[in-house]
Amino acid sequence: MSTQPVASTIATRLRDETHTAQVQAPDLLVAGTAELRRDVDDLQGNVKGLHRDVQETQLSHLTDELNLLAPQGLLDELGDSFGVAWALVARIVGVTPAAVRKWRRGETVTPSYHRQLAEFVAFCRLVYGRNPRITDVDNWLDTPAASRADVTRADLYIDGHRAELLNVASANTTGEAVLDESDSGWRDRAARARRWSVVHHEDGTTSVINAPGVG
Amino acid sequence: MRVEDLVSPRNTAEVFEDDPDALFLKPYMTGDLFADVPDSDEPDRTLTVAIVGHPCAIRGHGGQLKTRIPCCIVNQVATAVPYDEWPDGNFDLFPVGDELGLGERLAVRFLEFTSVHRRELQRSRRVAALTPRGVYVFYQRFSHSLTRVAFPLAAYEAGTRHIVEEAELESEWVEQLAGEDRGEKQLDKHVKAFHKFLDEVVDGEPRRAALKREGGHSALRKELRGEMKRLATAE
Repeated sequence: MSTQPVASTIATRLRDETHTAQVQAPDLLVAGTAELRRDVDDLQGNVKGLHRDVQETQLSHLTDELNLLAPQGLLDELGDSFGVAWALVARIVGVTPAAVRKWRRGETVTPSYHRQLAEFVAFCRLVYGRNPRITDVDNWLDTPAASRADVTRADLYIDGHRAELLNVASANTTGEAVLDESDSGWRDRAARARRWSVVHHEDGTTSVINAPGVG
Repeated sequence: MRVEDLVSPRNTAEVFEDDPDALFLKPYMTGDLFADVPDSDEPDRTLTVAIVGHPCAIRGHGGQLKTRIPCCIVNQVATAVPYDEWPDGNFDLFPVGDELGLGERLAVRFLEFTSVHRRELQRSRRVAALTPRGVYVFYQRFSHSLTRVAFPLAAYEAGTRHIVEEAELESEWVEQLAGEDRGEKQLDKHVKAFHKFLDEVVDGEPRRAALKREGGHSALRKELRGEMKRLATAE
């Protein structure tokens, strides 16, 4: 797709118009730039889709490679290198914490869960590769996708938004943008949650209070 | 009137955990269910109870239970309360899923309190525990039953997450180091060692302070796992 013909047509028409025609130029300009904007939006949509496809392919290829490793090795990498909580591994893979406990003791992992473990390790590696400042992938995943959102990045991973999360990691998009596309109610829920904040007392206990400055 | 802020769980597994290993290894926590607890009012009778005290209130130094623990009685209710109806009523009940195999139509009765001596709350009597999310849901429903104020679940999570995280770490520590040796005394020894490690002062503050810092729990988890490996090798 090229935007050149539209732009040059507008320019040529503007140059060649008579005085009378020039009075109509703003209409032409509006129509032309509207078309141009649609073209750019289409192009942007196509490029976004292409980028998402490529990222998913990259994740899939790395998953294929890692799937050759034993489940124990994958769990060791998640636990030792990425410091991931076993409860989070269980949520991500979609099993009970008891199942993960058994896998760590060497019990058999079914092929489909083996692949999900491989995919999770691949994802963690790619996040770190996208942004080496994310040294703590576990914490990054367990953080709300946007300020005060009750949806964490781990929730987005579970819902299948892996390529979008890789874009968030590389700062090509924001958690808010991903949530806006995937969860229409998150802003209302975040606004309600914003009413409360936590205070930590000197004796180690906590209280939940009405947030300062919020009615 | 449906109270939309009150959570309706999708299923029993979302709120309860009954894996025998987990029940034996997890630290005592709000919502734990204990069976065969002697009834202090009727010595010939036993009860099933649920801990309702906040973790800060039920556990003291070294993670040990305080002398008397506030609990609520668990027994059968006349009519089952499906999960999708939790926001609609029966606010003084926290239903216990039949899938756990503890009995039909059981529920924690939030308005039937009892105080149980810690010697009666043995790990071997624990028949169910709550998942981390289950703990937040339990707090929400319990506080609503007493006050009729429904705070969003996120408020409970924000205020309690560091405790739930510490419980997960304690469970991992005990499981890793106890191995197959799972007597109550042996487990208590590992629990004390865990809390001693968390209380050690590093860079001017105890390690456990990391649990309250943004991102701190993950760094602490890595440190704990390193220490667990060191101890396991040393043994």
